[in-house]
Amino acid sequence: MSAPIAAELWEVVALSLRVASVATLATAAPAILLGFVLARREFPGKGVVSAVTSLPLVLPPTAIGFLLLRLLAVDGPLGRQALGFDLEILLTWRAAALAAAAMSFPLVARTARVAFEGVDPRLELAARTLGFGPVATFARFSLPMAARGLLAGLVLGFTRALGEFGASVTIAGNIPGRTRTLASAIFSAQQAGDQAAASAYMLISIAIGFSAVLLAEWLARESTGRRP
Amino acid sequence: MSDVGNRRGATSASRALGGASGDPTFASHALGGRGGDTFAIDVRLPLDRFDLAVCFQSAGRVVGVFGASGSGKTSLLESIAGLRRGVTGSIRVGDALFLDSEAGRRMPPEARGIGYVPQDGLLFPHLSVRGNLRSGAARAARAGVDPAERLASVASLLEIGELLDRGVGSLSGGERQRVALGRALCSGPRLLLLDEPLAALDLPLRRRLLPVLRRLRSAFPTPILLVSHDPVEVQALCDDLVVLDAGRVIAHGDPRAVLSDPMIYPLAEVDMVRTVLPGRIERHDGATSTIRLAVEERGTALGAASSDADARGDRVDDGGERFSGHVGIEPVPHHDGAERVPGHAGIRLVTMPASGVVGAEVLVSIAAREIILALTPPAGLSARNILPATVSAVRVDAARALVSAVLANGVPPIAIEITRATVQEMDLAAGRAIHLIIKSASCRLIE
Repeated sequence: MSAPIAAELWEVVALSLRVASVATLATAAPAILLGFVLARREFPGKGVVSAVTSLPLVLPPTAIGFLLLRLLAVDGPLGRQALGFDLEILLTWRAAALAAAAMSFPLVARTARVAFEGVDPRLELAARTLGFGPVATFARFSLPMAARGLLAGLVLGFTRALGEFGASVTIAGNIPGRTRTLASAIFSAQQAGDQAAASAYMLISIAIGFSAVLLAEWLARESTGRRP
Repeated sequence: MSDVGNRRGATSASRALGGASGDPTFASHALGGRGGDTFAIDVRLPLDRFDLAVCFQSAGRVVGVFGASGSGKTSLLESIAGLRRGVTGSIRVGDALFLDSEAGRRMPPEARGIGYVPQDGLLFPHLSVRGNLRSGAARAARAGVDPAERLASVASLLEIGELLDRGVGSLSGGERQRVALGRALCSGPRLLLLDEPLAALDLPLRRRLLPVLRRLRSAFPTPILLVSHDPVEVQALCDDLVVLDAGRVIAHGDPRAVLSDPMIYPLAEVDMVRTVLPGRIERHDGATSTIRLAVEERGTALGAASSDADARGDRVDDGGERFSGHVGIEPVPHHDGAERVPGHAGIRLVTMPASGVVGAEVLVSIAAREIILALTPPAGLSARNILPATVSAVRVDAARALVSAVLANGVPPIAIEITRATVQEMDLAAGRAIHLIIKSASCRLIE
């Protein structure tokens, strides 16, 4: 493989990892909190909140992309005219990260909810009797007891972000060196008839996804598994 | 209930604890609040099946809550722990006011200083045994207890020192419950709430762990509320007993007096009434052992009080009014033997061989239907125990009669089950002098 292609490959991989990491880090806290609230609290409108946050799972990604585009467009509610300044998101790597975050958020929130539902709430009550307030109980007991499921959710979110195409291409485009990620690079290479490049991107995608899942399983085993 | 261990000075466990009387938490919270009551409970909570409405005061340090399953025992405990929403009324334990809904005071669970031990232990799965024991260390430190010292003494008391580095997933049922007790004790609680802590275990294991609970009881002067439907456990541990049925108190008083009421003992869901008496191994005689029963001087007044009440023959199903609060044994400061005097000559029981050493504390459990009554001292019997006693109460239901008999002042009354016809033929009534005939084999030892 010649040097220019290798450089381009690295650029695409680095950008993809950056986009997926930023998207995962940005969604982790709110998605986990939302999952906890949905698992533990009853409140009016809970069904609606649950449904709205699940929309990205059931809508075409391009629909979500178009929704984000309308929000961020010059004349949109988060556009330059409404805010008085430009957020400078559209057609940048930040737009790709935003699209990836929007698409992976519901996955993380839903798996977090299931993870918290798998923790006996009486264990949290036991922590309360030992002198821990609600916040300390969440941080020191609920989170670590749900760690396995939460990690699985975050890996799922990360890989979903890595593979994001539809919403991303709608608001970030497919600009080589700026917003071209693995997913869009495979699409472009295949469209251009460059089977070798498409295959390389595909193999890299498989390698990253496979490593991420292995890492998650190892982390889960280390955090909750056997002790000497 | 007498506690021989304390009367004779510190047990090894309480020595290991360095004398709990030096513990400021306990000094301020352990015993006696306003009016001398350890517990002043008046809670209401709507439940699916009925409304919980429990009201009692008790000066006992270890109070049992007894009743059939579904009678509201756990709901009561969770209300006291602050784990239930919608509880109204008032809850005071020692000096601490947990709840006064009229004044709008509701202490959150984390401020109540509770050591809560549920039936299934609820150990934290992400922590080792040591991690579980340490989980309440911050609270213990705030309460003036040295967490490391406490952990060491608790581990030795509960014999869990070997388990400290294990994960909780690998523990057996009995180990789990001991760790759960240890976690509660290590958090420096001012109140222990034990919700059937041994109920999930099989009977032999339960009996083996009973002495552990007895040691815990004497090593820590913390007030205890113990939910149980095991009459043996209740008699072995509790000073005072509250009986719940459908969310209400239907009886309250000395555990043995309450449990020998024909209206109450069917709730135990056991087929036999048993009396459990604490004592100490006095000597081994080869094929038998001799147990000297513990005598509690403070119990004299109680014995008289419950005898009087029993002699009236009225039932305890009148909403608990008759017993409310004042029949229970006065709290005994367990860290200080000064208020107890050594037992007199004492009552001895010849039992099957005990496995403990001479001087060791044991519990003797005697089934009410295995005791024979005689009006005159019989001769030529094989039974090893022929003991003079005085009838303190006779209570009769449709099928049978339960006679309570007192061997000596300070020894809790023994229940004897006979037929109704026998009551008439022997002319049994309170005050009648009788003899109890008890085979050694009928004295089951718990040690």
